[in-house]
Amino acid sequence: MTGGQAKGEKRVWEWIRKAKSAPPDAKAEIWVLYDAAVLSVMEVFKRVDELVECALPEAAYAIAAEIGVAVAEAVLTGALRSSGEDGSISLGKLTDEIASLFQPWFFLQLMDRLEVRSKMWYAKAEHEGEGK
Amino acid sequence: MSAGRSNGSQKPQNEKEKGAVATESERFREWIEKPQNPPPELKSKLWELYDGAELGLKETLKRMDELVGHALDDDIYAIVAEIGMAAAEATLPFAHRFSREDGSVEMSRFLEKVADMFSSWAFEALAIRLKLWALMQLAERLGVVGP
Repeated sequence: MTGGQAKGEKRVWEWIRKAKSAPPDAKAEIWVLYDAAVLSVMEVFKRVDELVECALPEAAYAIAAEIGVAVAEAVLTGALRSSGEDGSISLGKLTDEIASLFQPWFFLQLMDRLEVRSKMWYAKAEHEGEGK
Repeated sequence: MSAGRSNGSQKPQNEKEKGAVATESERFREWIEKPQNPPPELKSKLWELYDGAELGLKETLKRMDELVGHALDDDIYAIVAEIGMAAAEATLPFAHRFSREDGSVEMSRFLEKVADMFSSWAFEALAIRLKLWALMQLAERLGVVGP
């Protein structure tokens, strides 16, 4: 293990320990926030599909939201692992960490999805900029 | 898929299977096509909803870490939320693929497919915070650690 990796591990453990030993009122608030985030993601995907009249049973959205929030948390751990002592992140290392979470076929699909979305956002931002 | 299975006794079953696959594909295509071609006013609403959820997830994770005095850069939470939302969205096509004509979802096939998305170690590690806290509560109950 290199010095950089050891420091990254230390930051992960610190992050875990702090959350574990949070004061009870902060802990309760964290649970409320977490549950609200899952519920919000679930309701949004359900609403999106309802708008185009192609909704699934509620349980499918609940599972999708749980997976999404859990993946976000797992990526956060990767970010801590890839962070320097000054809190900066090595994006190359972070991307490697994210890629290692997934099977290669799915990672490519995920990247395609993100690329399409970011392209659409750029187009939307440009369009809004032109309108001003 | 093995060849030479088209004997008379298996034909009805194969046709039934083909019919089920066609139905799944149809439902899947329909789901993809519908959001691609909604009326313009609906499309902007879809974007607003999606952006709202992503911002909510980003701010929530950031707030959770701030509460324990361990927040990272803002950009990191944006990346994390983006990946999380994309992963959630990417599981839905599988739900559609394994949905039946009555709209119900074949959960075991759906969950198998979700598990396939991840490296096996990562699938085990999902819901990291939840698992750690559950372990901590168990440890407290057992008196291994305590406040």
